[in-house]
Amino acid sequence: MVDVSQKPTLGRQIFPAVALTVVGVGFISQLDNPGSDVVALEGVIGTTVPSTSETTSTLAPSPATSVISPNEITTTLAPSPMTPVEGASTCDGDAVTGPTAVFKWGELQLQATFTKKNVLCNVTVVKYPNEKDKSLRINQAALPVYNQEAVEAGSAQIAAVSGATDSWRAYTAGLQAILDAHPA
Amino acid sequence: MSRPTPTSSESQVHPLPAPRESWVLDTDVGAVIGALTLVVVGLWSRHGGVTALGDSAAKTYTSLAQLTGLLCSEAGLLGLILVTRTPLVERRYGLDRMFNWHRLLGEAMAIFLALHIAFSIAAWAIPNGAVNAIKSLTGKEPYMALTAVGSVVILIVTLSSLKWFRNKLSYEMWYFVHLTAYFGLAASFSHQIVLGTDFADDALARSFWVALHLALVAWLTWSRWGRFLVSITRPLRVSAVTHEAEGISSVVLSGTHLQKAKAQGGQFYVVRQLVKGRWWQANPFSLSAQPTTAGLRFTVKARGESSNAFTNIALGTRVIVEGPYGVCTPDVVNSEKVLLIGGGIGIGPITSFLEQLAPKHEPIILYRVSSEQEMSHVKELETLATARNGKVHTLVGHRATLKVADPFSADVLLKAVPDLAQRVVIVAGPESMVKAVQRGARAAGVPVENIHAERAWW
Repeated sequence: MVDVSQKPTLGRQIFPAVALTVVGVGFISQLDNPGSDVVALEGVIGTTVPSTSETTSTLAPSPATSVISPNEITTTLAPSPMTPVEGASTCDGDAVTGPTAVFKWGELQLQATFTKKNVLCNVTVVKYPNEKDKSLRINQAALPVYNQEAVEAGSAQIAAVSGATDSWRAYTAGLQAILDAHPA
Repeated sequence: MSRPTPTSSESQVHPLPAPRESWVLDTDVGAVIGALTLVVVGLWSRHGGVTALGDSAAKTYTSLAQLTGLLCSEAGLLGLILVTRTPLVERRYGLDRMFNWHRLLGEAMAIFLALHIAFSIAAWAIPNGAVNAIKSLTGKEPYMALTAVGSVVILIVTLSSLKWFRNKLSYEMWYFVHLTAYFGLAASFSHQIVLGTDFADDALARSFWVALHLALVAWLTWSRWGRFLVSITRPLRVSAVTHEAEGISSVVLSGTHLQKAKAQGGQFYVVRQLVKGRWWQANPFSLSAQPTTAGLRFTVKARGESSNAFTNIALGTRVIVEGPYGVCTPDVVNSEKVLLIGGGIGIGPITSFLEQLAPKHEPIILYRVSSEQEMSHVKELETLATARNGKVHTLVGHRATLKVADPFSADVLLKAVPDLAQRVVIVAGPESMVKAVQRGARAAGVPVENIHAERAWW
């Protein structure tokens, strides 16, 4: 209804907007901000030629606090990352150990193996954040999926698993660094 | 002509008091919409939505899918607030404007939904191809089968509300299709929480989003459906039916529940008769006499199957009413003089409005009607006007037979009402007539804020 007789005061008109804006901004500032947690890539990329079967990393591995060996991820948890992908039946090319991606929840490092034709053939996780139970749970579920998706896509263009977006950012950043350093 | 008259059991008849005013201001509405938009866009931006835009195609599409999805939800939430018919908003803006905004928000929601679907498919298609993306988004991913069904329902509801389809459907058919929107919205909620990274990854954002939706569900349940159930427990009865003109009757509803009711002339109710096969037909009827504890009078024209049933309704029929709604009441007038313009059945709300005016308003009534057989309440109008220092002009005949092309042009209006610019103009009638009056009155120098229109109900 239009009440012409009583004009609301300026304060009454402005107050709700100011109050709600303050509450809104306060709320937003309390939210997670993965954007500010930049994924920093540290260390250099090490390539191992196939003749030497052992994998060496030029990076000194961080103190092993992990209860589960990182490689177990691919062996025990991944349903099918080891299944051969067409055109990449043998991973007989270079094995490349990527830089350590340092992000919000810890460090993530990948090793990628290629075929002789330099097609991405297999990805294993060298290390991942495992200090918190939650990190362990999320990563053990998501990383095998990322491994498989990366091999299937042959690139770092993979979809994020819900709830594991931060790991996805670190993973894709790390894998992209490997792929950039090892052009097909 | 039938006026509500006291029955033997009711010793004294009072006019109903005016419903309480809303304290909500335009700026409050703006603040709520602005703050919700701020939170939604801020949440998206805080979660990296803006930085992702310049990134790879996949990230850009994902980010856009998130933004359009959030905005789609926001439009849906705001649209549902309007459906609550909350008096906070209704008492200030009126139900017809709320429905209009609801329709606009529905259209905005459909556009955001289409964009959200397109961006999501584009984002998922980059690693997996479009076919796999569509497969994932319609079933493989958790809750996406449910969401896909919900989206289809929402799109059907939106399409059915477009004028072209809407005109081909009966009101009831359209209404029941429309009700399925509740299912559509509920079905698509799950994927926001499980798949939408804005909520899956951030507990605080998720709690806020869930709380917001639960609060709205509670509000809607009470304000819309709770009130509806209450109205069922307080039925009125038809106490008089009078033939007024060709196809036009006035119906008086009475009952003890009116002792505590509040309403004003110019307002309308949504009326249903509790008769087998008709209870679900909702009719918006305007009050055609000042509402009193003795009864509510509506003047009804037979122009559809459902309103036909009201023009010869049996005495004693139980009727439930929701309302009153509408803000075009005598409250919009202070001490100015008043010009009332009623077209066709729009004379009903004009009559109830006039009854609440005082001699200082010197009301002039313009009654536009297409034939003499359809004129109703003429004597009553003249009696009311005379007692209030006013007068009635009638303009009868089809448009083609009139001497002037536009009976509501500034020239014609000024000839009939020389002091028009000093008056508050109230108009009720068909939409085309309301628009013509608004044009003419503004051209004659009436400020926009002094022109008040209520949609012509029955």
